Amino acid sequence: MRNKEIREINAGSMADIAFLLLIFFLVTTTLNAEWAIERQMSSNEEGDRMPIPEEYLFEVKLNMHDELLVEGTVITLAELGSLTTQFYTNSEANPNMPDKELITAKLCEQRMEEFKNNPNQLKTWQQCKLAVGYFGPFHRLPTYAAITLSTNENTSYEAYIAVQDEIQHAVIALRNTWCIKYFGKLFTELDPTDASDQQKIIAIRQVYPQLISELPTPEIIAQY
Amino acid sequence: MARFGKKKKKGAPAVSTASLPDIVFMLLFFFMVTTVMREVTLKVEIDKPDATETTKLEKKSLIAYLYVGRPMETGIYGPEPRIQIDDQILPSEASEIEIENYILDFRASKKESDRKDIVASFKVDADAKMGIVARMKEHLRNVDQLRIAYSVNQK
Repeated sequence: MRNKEIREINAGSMADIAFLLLIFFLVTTTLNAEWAIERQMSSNEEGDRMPIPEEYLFEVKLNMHDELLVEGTVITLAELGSLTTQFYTNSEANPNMPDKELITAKLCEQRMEEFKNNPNQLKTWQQCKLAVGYFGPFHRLPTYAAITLSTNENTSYEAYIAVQDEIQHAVIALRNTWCIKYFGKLFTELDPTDASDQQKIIAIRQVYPQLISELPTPEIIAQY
Repeated sequence: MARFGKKKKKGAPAVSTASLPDIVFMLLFFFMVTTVMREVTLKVEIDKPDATETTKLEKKSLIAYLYVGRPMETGIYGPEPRIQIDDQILPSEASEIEIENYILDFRASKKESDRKDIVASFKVDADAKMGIVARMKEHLRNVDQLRIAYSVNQK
């Protein structure tokens, strides 16, 4: 006898399958968390480059055996951190390390006037003025100071990244100390999405700027 | 008297779930259309180095990837680390200028307002040598692509 009731197909499990597909898809599109070391290279044409006095240059060289040569001495990666800190702060008043400039509000305004047609320099000095607003007059390396990283053709990429990382580590440590002194928390704890924290980040970056200069080729391929 | 068949005591009629998968599929298609999942088949082996001081790259659609590593098919390409852009392994050192064209094309395909945010990301094997990377950076400088990033594993 024909059953007059037509049985409905239970479509509930189809929903489960669809949910599984959806969740799988949502998960796979977020799997590539891109961690990277960001750098800004200097362009080929930056007007006439004046030769930088030697003590304002922190020369880090890597040879083909991934050995580190800094300011004429072979050192280990661990020592690089403390030498970088020395370069930035010169706390031991070493004559081979650079003298620092005293940044005051007046100096910033002067420079802003001088460089009003040069957008990069103008921005730098505007940010310096902001920093003076937060910290009062402070000492820092002049804007032409630089950390130069030279590598040999056969230096391994791993060593290069390790050096970049170590230098950045030293800079972040300096910024952390400064931030704790003035704002009571670590530089790494500042939130880049918050407007007032953003200003603080900009100001502290002016006190201890990232000075790694990504060199153009002729200075890189040196045989040593 | 006609026998009444046993009537099952029915409660409230069950809610039909037949349309639920339709809703979910609509959501699924929405996500498939809006998210960008770049699938470049990697033809080189890359074991990224580790680093601690890293940042997360925003705006994935504005990242131009440059891959360097040992080719998977060493029979055709040899055992030395090679550059791969898009899906192609660059055939020789002389063709490295293709990097410049790639960046220019990439830039042209983006909106004017986004172009200054384009980052050239180096996905390089830890054992690769700096000679290749230095030449690539030089090519990037030639086309004014100054924002770069070294892709690493967060330690």
